[in-house]
Amino acid sequence: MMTSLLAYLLIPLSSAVIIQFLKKNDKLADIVSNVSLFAGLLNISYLIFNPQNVRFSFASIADNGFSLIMVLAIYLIAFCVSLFSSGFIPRTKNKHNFYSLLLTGVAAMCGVVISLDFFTLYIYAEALAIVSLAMICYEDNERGAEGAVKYFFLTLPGSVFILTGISILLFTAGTFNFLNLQSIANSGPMSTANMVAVAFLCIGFLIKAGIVPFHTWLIDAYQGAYSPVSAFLGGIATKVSGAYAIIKIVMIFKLFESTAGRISEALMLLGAITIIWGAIAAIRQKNFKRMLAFSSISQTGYIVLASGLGTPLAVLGAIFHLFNQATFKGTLFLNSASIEKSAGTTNMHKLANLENSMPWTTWTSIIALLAAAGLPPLSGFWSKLVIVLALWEEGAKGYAFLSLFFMLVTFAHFAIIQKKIFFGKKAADGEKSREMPVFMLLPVVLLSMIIILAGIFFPHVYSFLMQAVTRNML
Amino acid sequence: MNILLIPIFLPLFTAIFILLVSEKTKYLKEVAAIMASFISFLSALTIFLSSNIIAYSLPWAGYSFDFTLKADVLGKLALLFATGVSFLAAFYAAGFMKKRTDSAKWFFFNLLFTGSFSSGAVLSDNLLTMLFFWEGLVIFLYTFLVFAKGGRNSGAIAMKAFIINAVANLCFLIGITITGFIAGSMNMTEIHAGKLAVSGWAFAAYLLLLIGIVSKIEGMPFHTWMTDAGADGANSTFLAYVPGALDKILGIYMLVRVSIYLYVLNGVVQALIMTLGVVVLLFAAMMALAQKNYKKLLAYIAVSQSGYALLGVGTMNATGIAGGLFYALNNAIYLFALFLTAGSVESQSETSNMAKLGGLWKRMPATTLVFIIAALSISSVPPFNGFFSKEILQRGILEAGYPMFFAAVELGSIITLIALLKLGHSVYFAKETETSLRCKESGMFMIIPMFIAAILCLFFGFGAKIPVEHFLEPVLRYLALEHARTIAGFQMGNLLLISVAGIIVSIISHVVGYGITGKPYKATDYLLYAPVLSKIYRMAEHKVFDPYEQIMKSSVWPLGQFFSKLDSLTDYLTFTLPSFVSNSLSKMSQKFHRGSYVLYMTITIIGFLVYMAYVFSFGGIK
Repeated sequence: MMTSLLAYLLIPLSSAVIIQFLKKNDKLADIVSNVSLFAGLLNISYLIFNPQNVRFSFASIADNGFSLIMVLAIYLIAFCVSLFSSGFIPRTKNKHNFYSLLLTGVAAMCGVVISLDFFTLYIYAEALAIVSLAMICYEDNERGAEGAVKYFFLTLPGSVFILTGISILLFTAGTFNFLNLQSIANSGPMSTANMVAVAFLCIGFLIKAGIVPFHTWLIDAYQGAYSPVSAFLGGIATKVSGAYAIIKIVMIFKLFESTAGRISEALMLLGAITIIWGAIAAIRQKNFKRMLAFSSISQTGYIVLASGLGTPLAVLGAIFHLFNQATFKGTLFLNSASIEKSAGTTNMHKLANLENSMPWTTWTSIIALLAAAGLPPLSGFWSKLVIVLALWEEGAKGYAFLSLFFMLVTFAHFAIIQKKIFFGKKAADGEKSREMPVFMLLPVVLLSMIIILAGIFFPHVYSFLMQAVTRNML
Repeated sequence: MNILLIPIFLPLFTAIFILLVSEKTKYLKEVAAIMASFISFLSALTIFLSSNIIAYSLPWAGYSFDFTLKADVLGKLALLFATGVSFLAAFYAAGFMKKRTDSAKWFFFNLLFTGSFSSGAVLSDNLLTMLFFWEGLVIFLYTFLVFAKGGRNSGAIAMKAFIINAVANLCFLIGITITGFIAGSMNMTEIHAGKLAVSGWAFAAYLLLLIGIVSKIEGMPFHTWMTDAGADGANSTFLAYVPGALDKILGIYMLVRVSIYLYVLNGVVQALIMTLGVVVLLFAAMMALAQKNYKKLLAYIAVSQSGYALLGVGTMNATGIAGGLFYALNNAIYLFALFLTAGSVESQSETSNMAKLGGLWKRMPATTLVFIIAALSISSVPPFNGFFSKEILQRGILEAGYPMFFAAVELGSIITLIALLKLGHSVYFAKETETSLRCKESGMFMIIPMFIAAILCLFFGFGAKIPVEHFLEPVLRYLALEHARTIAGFQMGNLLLISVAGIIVSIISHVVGYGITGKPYKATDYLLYAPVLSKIYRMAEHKVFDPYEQIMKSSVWPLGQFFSKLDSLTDYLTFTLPSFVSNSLSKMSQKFHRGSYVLYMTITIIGFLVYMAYVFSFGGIK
């Protein structure tokens, strides 16, 4: 564990415990949760973006840059969800439990990203899974319970495979520690036994990430969960437990060697299938949250495709895309929660012309959707461009064309959503919707601004990520 | 502070400023927009007049993502014209937007952003920076159309425009990336030092770039959004500014840049470009003949004009390229002016239907005068600038050795003149209608830009010495294109006689058509039959020139039908078919996600086994 970042794990955990003692006083629970997350967010932003670092192109960051940016993403999304929930969740619903779960989830996620060996990572990932399970059925209805059960049982194979991989690794390599494994991988071609272990690890984390054909739990979980929980899950939790680990594996092992079997090819192939399946399935969805779930799957496919490639540039693209997706999906899921609360439904056929009644929600969603489709000058354009360039450079021209083509299909989602929900003729349910109060809009506005700023200040982001990648990869 | 940054960043910041300003202020938006575009124009003028090449470089993120600008001869010419039309459009819009219901704030925002991004695109020296600006323009095209609230279909048309341009720009993006990788550098000056030959991957890259360029200048088959926008009643200032003037400038800039500066083309590509140019030129002009809507007719004329630019650059000799370039620059003036007159008429009469308009010369004399000058220019009537651009182009075509294309260009300008005679006659002359009784002349804000454009038509005519010497010759010298004799001036000879003969043919055609039908806006009906069959019989009764009509019926009618079917096929391919395909695919995947847990678990296990088999299929497990 990286002790320098341990505080990020302990503070939310202690806040979670404190909140349990605040059963009577909901407002205080709101404040404790939001303040601790906000403080953490400020802290990590300062750690990364203080002017010293920026001036020297981030050469002087002591810790692992990848972990830092993940902590930033975690705190960002968690803070936004927390702030949003303080307005969204009514008093009657045991708000303090929600906050405790959220904060424990944050602690678990930070544990995942600061751990320095596979076993610790696995422990925290399982903790995260249990917390997510509890959060999914927070609302205490059928859909939530169904989503939770499916989540648990369908990611169970994933956990089994990860454990298998870790045990094999223990026998063959004698260590789980990332640095040791990296030096083993560096010192010569990997033995087949090691590769079997890596293959198991990969498949386990792929299942947890929701790659096709293992994605089915994700759809029902995102749709059935309580809305802010969907934002939390879709925004960051799934990514930390799945995609983060895949990228970490790629950074440690040399997967494109001949003795690695065909792991990198398998990753790329699965990534490509996921992109295609997710994008096409999303087009016909009637429910906004379900469409967002499929869209998430498709974008995770991009991350896995880029990681499968394995070059520094590709990994950079994957990391940046992961961060971007956190912001986009965070915005979109929070907005879907707003729409659900305000208009009473997430069925897209019943919503229309929300631009007039909910302008802020509309415009932040549009920014997120345009960024997801990869339009300049937003951040999504840069991450997609880097991935395509990396693919092209390595000669994977077919995959490059595929990613470009599906940018267009992603854009088709945008066209559908904007036409059905935001613009277009008024429908009955759209009539009674009102805009959310200011502090519920603050999170999505913050996320949208980050999307825009990350796009405009891409050069700085690029130099930071380049540092992170080159220092920690083979 | 480098002067090159002004035309890019000043309009950009002003646009953001305008967005934050309330809708209710009386003059702040207009004044800010006009000032910003005027200052950009002045800086463009300064850049243009300075004799050395100004450059600006900001190393950005390494890995070829450099922000380098360079105002070389080609770039600064394009910049001058682009900022010039921005300024005139902003000025015109100050008067035009007063009468409209759509948001003036967003209009100026879009106008300034488009101006900023187009300046960035023509000044960039790095392919990726240029790509950034070029792609960004597509967003503002969409927002322009979506906020214009033109007619009933403005949202759908905006989406259509966006999709068509986004697809073509995707090809452009791929073309640029391939170019960069083949050449080994993303910097245009470096690529120019060792130009790429068009073979293998370079050929594919060039074609992809060409797709992007053709869509930018609204060539076929990427033009349908514009003609729909014209029919739907989109904002006339937008039509004048973006598809009318700016796109042509950007398109020709990119075409010359890519075809001559970066690549060395061979005969196959040349034939391809020239053929495309001729097809666009003729097809669009013929479609224009059938229109009875002021703006839709002008939209088709605009599409046709882009064909000339393609043809010019395709000739690959100095005269032809000068002609094509001159065509594009002239378009920025006379097509711009024509759309402005359409806006002027529309804002007074609330309609663009030619049947409802007539005799406006009495009530709107200034607009009529501008129309006459611009229409005569675009139809290549001497002594206006259009005539000289056509002459130069024709000489270039003959030099390249393609007499068939020469004939096509002549035919094109004949048809253009017929269409514009119809338009001018029915809207400005002919009998006054009820609607036209309400009209009076437009305000000063709208008249001044129109007049400036009309004066430029005159100024650049009369031998075209000024534009040739100051605009075209420097570019030809910069691109190291040699040419024997001067290209300016009235040159007596067979070409001149042919052009004059063509003009006379057009006039006769119009008079004949008018004589047959009695209504000026139906003056071309004898050329393209109305869809109703009874009209054919009625016309047969009124037949005056029997053998003449026979010839027209046998060759023009089937051609017209074919071309209009081709138009709707393009629509089908770019719109209906893709959405059908994706819908059916989605339906199939929808059936899969039924929620059955057992199914999901089975698939998970099977997936795992397949994965393992795949991963270890190579060499097997030792």
